[in-house]
Amino acid sequence: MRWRDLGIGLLLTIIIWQVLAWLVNRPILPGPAVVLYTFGRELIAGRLTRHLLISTYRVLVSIAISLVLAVPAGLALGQSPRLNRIFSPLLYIGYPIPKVVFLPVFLLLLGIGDASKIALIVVILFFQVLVVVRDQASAIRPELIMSVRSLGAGRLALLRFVYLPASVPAILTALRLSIGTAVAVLFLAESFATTSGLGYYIMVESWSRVAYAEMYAGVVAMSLLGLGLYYLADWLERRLAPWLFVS
Amino acid sequence: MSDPIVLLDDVTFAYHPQQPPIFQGFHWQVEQGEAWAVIGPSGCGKSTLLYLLAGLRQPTAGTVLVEGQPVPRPRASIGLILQDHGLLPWATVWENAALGVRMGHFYARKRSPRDAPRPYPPALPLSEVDAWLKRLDIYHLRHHYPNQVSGGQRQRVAIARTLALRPNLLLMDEPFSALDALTREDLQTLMVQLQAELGVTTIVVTHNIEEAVFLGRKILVLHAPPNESAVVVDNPGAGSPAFRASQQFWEMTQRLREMLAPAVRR
Repeated sequence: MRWRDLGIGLLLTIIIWQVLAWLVNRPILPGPAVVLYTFGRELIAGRLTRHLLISTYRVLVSIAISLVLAVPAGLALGQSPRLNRIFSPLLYIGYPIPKVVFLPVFLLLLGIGDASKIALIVVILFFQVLVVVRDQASAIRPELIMSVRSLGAGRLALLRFVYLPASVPAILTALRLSIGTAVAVLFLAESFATTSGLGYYIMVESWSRVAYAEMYAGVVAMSLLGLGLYYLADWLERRLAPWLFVS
Repeated sequence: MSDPIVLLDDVTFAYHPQQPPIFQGFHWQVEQGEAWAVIGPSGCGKSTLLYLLAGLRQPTAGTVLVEGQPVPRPRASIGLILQDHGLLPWATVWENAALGVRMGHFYARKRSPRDAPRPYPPALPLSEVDAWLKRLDIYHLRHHYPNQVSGGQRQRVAIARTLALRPNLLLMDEPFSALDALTREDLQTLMVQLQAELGVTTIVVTHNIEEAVFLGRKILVLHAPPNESAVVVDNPGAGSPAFRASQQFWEMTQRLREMLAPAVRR
């Protein structure tokens, strides 16, 4: 069923794309046939592959680091109203700040390598994951906490056996919501002052050379990266939260 | 005669300093192996009494002793079963029933607090969990999640989870009131059988007169606060599944109904 949906979605995308290409009828919008051919050629030649792998690496590392930082922090705030009271003003201010504007700062501080891009994505994902995990942890029914405490659970056992598993679906939801953001931010971070990544491939190697077919091949690669991560989140959810899928 | 397993001495408890206390100078004691029911109108302090014994609330004044020791925090030797069964929705029936034992292994290396009974569950073998699931007829459901089994079965899981820790005192707060009548009677009978098998001291809080009479060989009647002295009704007939059909059962429910009626009218 899901695979059929994916197939229908891809087919519709290609049809709309082809119709648009016919309507626009200019080099700036090549049709899907040319682009998919170029995509395959660039992939096999290895020019696109290198950038795709580098971008994938950056996104995955960013997501991993933000989870490692944000999940414990979210759990801590969610199970302690006092901690939450102390930190929520900071979060309230920090959450809506468009952190992407700090890109120049990160470039200056961390250089033009992987570190600045990863740091920027981590800062953005951190707040999203933190807020969702905190809210999920603080929404656990007090009766549940009481009955687990009555079995002799202390703070650590509550974290291990209640708060952490309870926040798994929230973590995955946060992850799914952040994937789009992460890939978009990555594109921006890679599109200048760097020599690798899909953003670089699209903006510097292709667009500035007026190589439109290559540019769209990069766009396809970036879309596939987002789609793949989305499916990864789905797969993880079915592995880590099987109880959500039983009736 | 051994020491009482539960001792409330001159206990005062109030949720708010401004409000009248729920208990004031309250004395009550429970002997080892007894089966008690606690009944009274809503707001009389039945659940509060149970939370005091479970270590979830602390008395404003006076002493609460369970097994001769104060209860500054919940401890595993005191089992508590709530109306809301408190099962983890993300864990299977088996994982839920095994939760206490698994926490026992989690805490196996942790040292006990000084001068206080060990609050953590014992690190018992996990095979005991299977035995309890079989005894409670839910072994075949062990791979199901709580939302896949019925309310009565969920409450059986909660019972298995608590009994797997071999508690010395079993506290139940309206354990069966969310269930339909047949399931409720079924589980009441099960509790009577388990009480006879294990000899564990049991205290059931209920607002249901029939349940109190069926389960409690002694019945503590609470009234609108403040409760200053324990009103205790002896109910020696309770303790066998056949009691429900007896003349004595019916007379006892009538007697309790009359005792509780003025409180309702007031």
